[in-house]
Amino acid sequence: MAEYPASPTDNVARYIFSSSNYGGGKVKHGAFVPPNDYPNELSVCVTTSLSETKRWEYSPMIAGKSAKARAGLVVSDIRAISDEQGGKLNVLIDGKPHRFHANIKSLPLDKSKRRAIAAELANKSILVMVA
Amino acid sequence: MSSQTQLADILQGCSHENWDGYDAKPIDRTSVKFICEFLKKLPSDIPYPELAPEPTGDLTMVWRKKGYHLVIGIDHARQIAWGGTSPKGHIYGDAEFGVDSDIPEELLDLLYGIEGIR
Repeated sequence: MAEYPASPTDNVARYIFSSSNYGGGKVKHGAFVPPNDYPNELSVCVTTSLSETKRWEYSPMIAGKSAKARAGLVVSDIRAISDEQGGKLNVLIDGKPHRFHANIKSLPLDKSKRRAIAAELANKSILVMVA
Repeated sequence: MSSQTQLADILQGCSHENWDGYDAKPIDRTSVKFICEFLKKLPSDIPYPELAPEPTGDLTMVWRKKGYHLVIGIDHARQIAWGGTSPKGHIYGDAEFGVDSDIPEELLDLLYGIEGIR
């Protein structure tokens, strides 16, 4: 399946599996720092058409366990984030490992710029805890 | 929560591979050591930050108040890399954190600005 852009009005969720990535009712920046193996993208789930129950059901396909929380974002808010060279983030649906899977793309590799972007994503996201 | 309690929680929860479900590296003890050195040099009029792990294995310090969200980490080569948001947009930079060096002036100015001291 070829990648294609998410709609600007789509909602996406970054699943959070560690309590170290949220606290005080807020998502911490670490939830938006990519792993070393995929340093310029972040896995998310497009939740727009999913019921609240279904929004949690895809998390085990990502980490083999259920998420403790999720960070909710709107695609247009993500695309409004740009680095200092004007490069903007994007959200592309790839449908793997499930059909609602997407990636936030074009994160900077430089640590300080990546921390700035992660902080902004955390600022813009809404923490939703598992009921 | 005190910095010591935060650090204990992070070391307990983030010292194994894949602690975040996205193949995170365990928190690196060198990173912890350098952050502790940094905190010892922090002027007494700047409140201690929140500590937060990153999936790269770095421990970071976070100041999140008054429209600022600043994240500071120190890598193996004693390079400080900071990044975050301010009311005016992104803030970021880096500087060396030498063994006998103080906290870089540029970073202190930023922290004092966040605290409204300067």
